[in-house]
Amino acid sequence: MEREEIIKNVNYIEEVIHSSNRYTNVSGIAGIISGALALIGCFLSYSILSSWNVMSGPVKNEKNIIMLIAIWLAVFVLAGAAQIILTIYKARRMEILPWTKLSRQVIFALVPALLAGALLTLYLIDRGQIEYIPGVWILLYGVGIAASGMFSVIAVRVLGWAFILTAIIPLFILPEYGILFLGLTFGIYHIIYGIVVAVKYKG
Amino acid sequence: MAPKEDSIPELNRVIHERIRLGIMSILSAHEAKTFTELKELLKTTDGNLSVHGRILEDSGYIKSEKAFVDRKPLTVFYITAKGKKAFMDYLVKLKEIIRQ
Repeated sequence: MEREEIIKNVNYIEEVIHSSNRYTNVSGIAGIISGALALIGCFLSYSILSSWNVMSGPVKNEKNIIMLIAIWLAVFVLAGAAQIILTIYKARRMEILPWTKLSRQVIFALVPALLAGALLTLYLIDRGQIEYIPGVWILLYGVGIAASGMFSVIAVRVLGWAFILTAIIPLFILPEYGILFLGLTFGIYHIIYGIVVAVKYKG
Repeated sequence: MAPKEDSIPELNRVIHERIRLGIMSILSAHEAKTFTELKELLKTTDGNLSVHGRILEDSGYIKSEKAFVDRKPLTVFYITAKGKKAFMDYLVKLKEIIRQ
């Protein structure tokens, strides 16, 4: 009897520590905003190329390439800022600390994949194979998010894997339509994720 | 829940209570947790958490501080070195009892 109670206590300790090791302060609103920004980036890219097919227009036009990179860099920076601001805002509302070991793990799990994406982007520009840049980012962002998700809720891991699986199409089948897939993943997937998170985790 | 006092005399009575055990477990695994977070993780009430938090604080096992998140004051709990040692000793005792 006594032994059973002790075992119950040990299970309880394990269960409590396990549940406290999940990062749950995810912002759905930030996901929706990131998605909307990506869709804007997608349409701005289209307006520069006048086509969804990057190979059809003046793809070797250096000015266009710089413009496209500037647009997506701006999308990335604005989405990142929205993420940081809304996460702090949500932590305040949920009365938790925004900057802990757990939140650092979530952020640093994302960093190696993003660095790899930046390096491969430079490599592809150097090789003149810019049509593969969207596929590379969809894949590596997915890898980073799936890794972050190991410390967080299941919705984050599902988002990461959706990116990874979708990346197959712009990498192997339709690289010239990569910008459309940026819209699908960074745009639509983020918005769906954001709505699910906002409903499930109160904002 | 409460076992016979003399049957397992060596267990730390301050820690050997469900809510207090939960608080000690979480704080030993994390550098800090807010009052609200502990309340939700342990599925307990404000009153209950206050009472048990106070008992642990009075024993010197945890300490609380006011932290500010975007100028909003939050009560934050930490484990002390004394608390960490007491919790580890408690775990060792649990292991001993199971092995018996």
